[in-house]
Amino acid sequence: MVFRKYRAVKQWGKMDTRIFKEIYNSRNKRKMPAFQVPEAIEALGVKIFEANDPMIFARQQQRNIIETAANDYNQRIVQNEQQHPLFKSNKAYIFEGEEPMSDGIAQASLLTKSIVRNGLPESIIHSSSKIEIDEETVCDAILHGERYDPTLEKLPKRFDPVLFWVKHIRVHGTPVVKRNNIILDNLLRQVVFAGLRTNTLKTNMQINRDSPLSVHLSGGLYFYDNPLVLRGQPHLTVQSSDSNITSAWAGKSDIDAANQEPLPDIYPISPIIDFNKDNIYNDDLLLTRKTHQSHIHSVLWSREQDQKYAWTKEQNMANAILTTYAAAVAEATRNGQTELEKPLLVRGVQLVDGRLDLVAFQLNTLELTEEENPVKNIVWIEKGIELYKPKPFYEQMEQVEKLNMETFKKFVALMLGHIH
Amino acid sequence: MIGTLACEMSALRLATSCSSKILISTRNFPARGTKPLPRHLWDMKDLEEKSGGEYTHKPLRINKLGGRDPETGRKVNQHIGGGVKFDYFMIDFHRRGPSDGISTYDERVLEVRRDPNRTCHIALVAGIEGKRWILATENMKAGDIISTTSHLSENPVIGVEGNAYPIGSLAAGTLINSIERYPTNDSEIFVQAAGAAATIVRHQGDFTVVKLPHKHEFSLHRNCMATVGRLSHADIDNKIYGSAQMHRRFGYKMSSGLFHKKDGYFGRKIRALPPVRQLDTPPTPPPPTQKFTLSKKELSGLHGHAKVHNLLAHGYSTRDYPQ
Repeated sequence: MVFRKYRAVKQWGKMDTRIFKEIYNSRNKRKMPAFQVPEAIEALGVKIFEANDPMIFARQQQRNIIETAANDYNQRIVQNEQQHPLFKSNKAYIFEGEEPMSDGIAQASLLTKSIVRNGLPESIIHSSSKIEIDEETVCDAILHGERYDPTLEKLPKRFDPVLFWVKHIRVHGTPVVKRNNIILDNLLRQVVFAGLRTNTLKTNMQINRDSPLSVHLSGGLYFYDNPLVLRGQPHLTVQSSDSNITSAWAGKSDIDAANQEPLPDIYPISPIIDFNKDNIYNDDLLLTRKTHQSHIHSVLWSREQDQKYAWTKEQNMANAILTTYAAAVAEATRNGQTELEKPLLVRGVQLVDGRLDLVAFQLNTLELTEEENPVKNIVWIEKGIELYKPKPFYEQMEQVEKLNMETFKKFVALMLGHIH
Repeated sequence: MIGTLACEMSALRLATSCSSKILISTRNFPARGTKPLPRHLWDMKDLEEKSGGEYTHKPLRINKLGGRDPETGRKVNQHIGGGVKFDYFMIDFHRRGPSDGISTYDERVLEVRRDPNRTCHIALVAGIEGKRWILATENMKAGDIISTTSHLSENPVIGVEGNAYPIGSLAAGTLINSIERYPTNDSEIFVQAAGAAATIVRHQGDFTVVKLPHKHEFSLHRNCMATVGRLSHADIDNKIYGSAQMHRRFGYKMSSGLFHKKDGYFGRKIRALPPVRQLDTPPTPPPPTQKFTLSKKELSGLHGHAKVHNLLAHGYSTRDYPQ
């Protein structure tokens, strides 16, 4: 083509525009090889900026300012956190009852170094057989939470696993945890009254509601480098000034027999995979009335099952064992004690979906799981025994269905039973 | 002579020009037609934000893209969108274990469940290092113990279903799934659809030839990990959605209703299989696209002393009157 210096374009039609557009488009589509920084320059370690950036200098400065400010800020936060006098640089494993234990009861028993006994001892059940609480009272206790409670809170979205696309209307009522807490409250009151009536209980109980519980443990096979923090907020923390309520159920011969038994092997699962890991500030014991002259009789709490990912009975039980263990350790280490003088027993009751998880934890040693120390704790469990059949949270219960008084008797035995 | 003949026949084409005497057969010519579009189901950036860039076994609620391009936000796939949002389970596709040949990384299967976001079932496994979701093989069930080893054994190993091995140590004929394309922890994987399995064909030096379910053969590094066995939920094809509405609930929309002429992508084709493709180095990501806005002067394409005022081209000049 002849080189035309100043010749005006004679006609520029739409076809030319299209042709040029196509040329430009195809040219734009062609990928250039990415620019590679030469190795020699990379070796120098200098900072490389994008030369095509029209705001290169302004942006450089700006980025530097922002970056330095952000870095300063982050550094200050980290410093402040770390300069806090209570900051613990070692991360701790934290149990808060949010994640189910992968291997259930076996894992909990390995963590708490305890031998599991299914079912409460015969003598315990027998010792409380004369305590009479009629069915009507238990029904009322349940209906108080399920029917008569006037709370009108917005309940969670309903999830239907079959008709998963249906958007159900949001209903208002009593949240499940609150219902269960009311039921536990009532059941406990009936049990305490019955105990006082029949003189099984010598003194009245001291009850604290929704008070936090936290114990800090370290050492053993799994928590040598990173300590274990067990946290919970049981709805009822039942204490008494009578020291006999924590007296152990298993005697010396039973303990010796338990010591001979091996702990469960949960290979290939590691028992600590279900804990969170975080830095903590406070490694003190957290327990209500910690400085009083009282003793933990039991902790009672309830859980709400996730609508989509419900925990299994095993996982619920593992949760109950660990929380009760926390209460037992709290009882053993209150008032700054570091050693266990004599075995003690703390009870735990968990109410999930109308099912009770009963735990009696006898703490024989404060040591965590390790190979040398043969002393083991003993835990009696009743796993997921049905107390009544609950309605789903979006339905109103009119009357108690399938009330199981056997379960209630076991509950009474756990709370009031004692070895003579 | 042959050259002119071949030029006339569209099925044959001569390399470079008709004058050279090399004849090349182009049986698969012309182009095969429209490829299926990318589905753009989930926003992976959002997933990274929600999981903090780390693996978590917990169910996540991630954003759905609805067939839209994550970069531009424009609709790419007409047939994806709407429906119920399901919880997303992150799947760990890269099972790597000890490579010393003695020890293995063992895990126990805690749960096998269906996953609404993919076709095959998924299994929650727990080991020393924590819990993770993997794709479940055909006979995997809760309580099974599966192991992983990265050791390249000298003699071919007959794999146990559910266990993960490097493909280089498995015997020819083994059915495998979740095969890494490159021996890295971030490579994509082959074979993840329900009921699918690839076969190990042969070993060649540092590479192992694997035959995928669509019968194409790939030559992969022998260190690439794969799980032995067929993937679960093979009978998914026999299950029916039941209605178009149920399809929509899962986020799959109907076709447009407008008639589209079928092109080369449709129908049964009998073609020779492509040669074995070797995957040696992971592809480098393409350079980021740059955007420029050119001024009118720059658009003129004139440089140096040819760069004149743009009005000159339209007949204006410094002269007072036209020549």
